[in-house]
Amino acid sequence: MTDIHVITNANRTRYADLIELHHRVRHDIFVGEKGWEALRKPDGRDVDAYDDEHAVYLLAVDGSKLVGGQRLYPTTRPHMISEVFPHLVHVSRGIPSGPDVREWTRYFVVKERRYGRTDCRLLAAMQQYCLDEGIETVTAVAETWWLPRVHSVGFTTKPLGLPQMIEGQPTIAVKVPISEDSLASVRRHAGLRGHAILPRHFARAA
Amino acid sequence: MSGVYDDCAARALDFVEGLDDCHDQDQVSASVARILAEFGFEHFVITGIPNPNDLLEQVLLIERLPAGWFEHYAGHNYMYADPVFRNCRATTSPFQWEEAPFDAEIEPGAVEVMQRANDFGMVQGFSVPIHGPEGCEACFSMSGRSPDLSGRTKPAVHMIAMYAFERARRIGRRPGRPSSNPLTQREQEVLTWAALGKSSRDTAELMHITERTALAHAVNATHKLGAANRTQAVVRAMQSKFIRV
Repeated sequence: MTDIHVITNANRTRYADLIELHHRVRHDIFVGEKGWEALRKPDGRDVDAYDDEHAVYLLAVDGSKLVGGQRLYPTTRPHMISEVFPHLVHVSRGIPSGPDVREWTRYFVVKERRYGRTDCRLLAAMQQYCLDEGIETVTAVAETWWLPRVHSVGFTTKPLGLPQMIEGQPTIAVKVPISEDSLASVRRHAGLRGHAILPRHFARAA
Repeated sequence: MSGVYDDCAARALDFVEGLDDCHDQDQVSASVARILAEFGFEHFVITGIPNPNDLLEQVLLIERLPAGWFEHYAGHNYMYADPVFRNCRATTSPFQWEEAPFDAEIEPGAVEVMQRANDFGMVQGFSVPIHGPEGCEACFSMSGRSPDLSGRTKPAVHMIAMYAFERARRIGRRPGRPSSNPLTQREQEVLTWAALGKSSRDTAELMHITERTALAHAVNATHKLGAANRTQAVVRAMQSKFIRV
């Protein structure tokens, strides 16, 4: 059974091992598999400027195995779109930011889970967490081929600019409205029951 | 026109926003046709990928193709030979038709599809594959005699295609495509007589109309079928079974 754990600065010390594992898995996937050489680190851990106390991680764990993850970061601080990819946002749109907007980054599913429900679990957890926290929008930079996949399970995305080639892939900045509809749709697609994320009091005890 | 090219990004972004106001496939189709025309595309089609036993028209979402082309394409089972269709399955990146690989030596079918497309006015094309969780789900193809396929417009067109597909998918497929004959009864008659070798004057006499009216019917039919002249119109009408001789 796969559970989604929410890791914030408040409970991070209890999750030290899982967070450490997650940095290694990220390196395996983003550098090893996808070939994002700019992220390569000699210690085999993907850690960037946004892995700080403001980051929130939603990690999918099956038993002792980490099978997927994603990160949410406040847009009231310098974040990836504002610092690294501002050129992906058209001048007429502007970079969405504010207390009810998070940036959604480092989404991954481990190879052997890519044809299952792990994607839907992670997507549902993201919507659920944001609804619970009063977050109305997330922004993301994504390879364009990925958009139809999230659209097909009920996510809505709005482009912030035209796709541009990054690391050989057409890449686009989008905003994703958070909604009960999107959550219900992705849960229906995956046949998920119950709350999409592990209650945090339970998670802390684990 | 220059206004569009000054900022095709803003235009394309506005188009995507406007899709929210499209509530049926006809509205999506009209909206897509309008913006693609600004980039020089005259035709487009959004289609799912048929399973081996599906009919092409079962997976067709929206089409604005030259008259007679869909029927010709389906009738000749071009989907099995079409290098563009094949490339949509093979890649997640948009491509120009000339980049869809095939071996002319051993794939005469592929040569034929591309040649016939050219004959129908689809000289240059651009296709955007749509891949879902189970692989290639759909293909958005657009074409024209001389569309703008510069580095500046391609990303705009790519985004337009992705979001138009999503809107069309969300609205849902129109039940059953009317394989309608665009020709009026009179236009069919005129083309039928032409197919039988009759002159305009003979046709006029046979139909009890003036020669001028007979000619007007032939011109209208030629236009509707996207044909260059009456002879080509006759051929297309017969291929599409709009007339029988």
